[in-house]
Amino acid sequence: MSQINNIIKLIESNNNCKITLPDCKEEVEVKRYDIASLNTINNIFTKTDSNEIVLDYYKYLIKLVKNRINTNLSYLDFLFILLYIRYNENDTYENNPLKDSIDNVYEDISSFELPEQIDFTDGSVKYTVNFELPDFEKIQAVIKLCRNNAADVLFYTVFKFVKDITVEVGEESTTAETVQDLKKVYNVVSYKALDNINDKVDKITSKLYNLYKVNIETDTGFFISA
Amino acid sequence: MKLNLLTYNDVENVTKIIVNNNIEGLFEFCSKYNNVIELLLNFKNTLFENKETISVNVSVDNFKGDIILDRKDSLVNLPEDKTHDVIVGNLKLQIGFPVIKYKNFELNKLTCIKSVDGFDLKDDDIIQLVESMPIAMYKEVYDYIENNVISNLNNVYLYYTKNELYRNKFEFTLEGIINLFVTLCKYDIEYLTKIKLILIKEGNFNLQDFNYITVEQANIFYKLLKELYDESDK
Repeated sequence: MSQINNIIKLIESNNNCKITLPDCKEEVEVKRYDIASLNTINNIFTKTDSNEIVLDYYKYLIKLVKNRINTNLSYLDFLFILLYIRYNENDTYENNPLKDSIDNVYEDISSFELPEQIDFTDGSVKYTVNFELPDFEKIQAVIKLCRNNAADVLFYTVFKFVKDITVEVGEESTTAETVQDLKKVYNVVSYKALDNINDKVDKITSKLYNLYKVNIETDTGFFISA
Repeated sequence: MKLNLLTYNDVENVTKIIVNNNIEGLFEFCSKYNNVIELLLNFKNTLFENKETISVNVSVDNFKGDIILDRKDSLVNLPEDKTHDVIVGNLKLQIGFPVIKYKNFELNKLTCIKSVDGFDLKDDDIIQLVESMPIAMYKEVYDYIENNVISNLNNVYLYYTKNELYRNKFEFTLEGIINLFVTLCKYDIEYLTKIKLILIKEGNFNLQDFNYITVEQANIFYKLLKELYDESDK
């Protein structure tokens, strides 16, 4: 008689790893990355719509962490959990040792700085944009607003780093702070304004790459190669 | 391990599978066996039932014809059907030989896992087990099975001749299993059907009886029946 339930319990009880989160400094115990998760990624990549693949991949990463951690993490800790569970199963990526990435995060995380506020004018509209590293709740709220199209993929990758946007036209001024309001602004901003914002977001993602030595969220090969 | 011979119905079934290229039927047939070693041994025992030698048709670049094989030259290097324990991570796995059940041969390979820390595992539960495994553990188990079980199976020869050109190697893949069937089960389906019909019509056999006799035995019954009829005609 098969005792599969006992076997699965046994595997699961040996299936956690302890991680000291580099940003909040707390120790958490998370379930390791398993074959079922890998199968889910494989299913994502059988889809034909590239926007759907990218968005589903972002959602997959969020769910991977959400299924393991109950607390609201910082973005840096969110990325670190992803890095660590990948490292725990396969300690290299593209011939680079991921231990170096982990050590680098612990060493350099405190020096991570966000770009300063930017102000620019587009025609008669004046924009003031502040940036932030989103927390875990915010990225979940942002992804919830995204549908399967290129514009929404860009909204997720750029606007999750936007803390608020103040738009001034003449004497009138309004500030968008919630993700819902930021989406409304995103839907109407010009390409020029978006370019200005994107320039700063590129700097954030470059700094994140320098910290983690891998584009954890955007490099779709990272988890599939585990 | 039950060691049997392929029955008349088995051979007829296998022959139909080959003729109709029926992959579903192939898996259904193979899944009756506890593992691949049992299947291979049953093939071997059936081939040499009441025979010292068999002839196998060979077609290679510079030679087309039959070669004569004796028992020691057929299904050579068959590993002994036994299990052993191995520690992976901090779990003790009992490893045996795989079954042929899934179209995905990676899954078939993992049916080598017979128990985990003393808890028995059914072949049907292998997908559930694999999905719960951390990836590093899966890789370690898979590599172990590949290097210590599958490599032994892939060292089996369906027939082994001094001239290496004529050798036919087994492989634990879908193609390898098809090759096993095609190479070692060369019967004429029309002949099998004819003998069966004669034995049912003239020899009072029923369909179930063919689950208990081999082709060799059916041939003996057929010859006896023919002798009886020839006698009565005189």
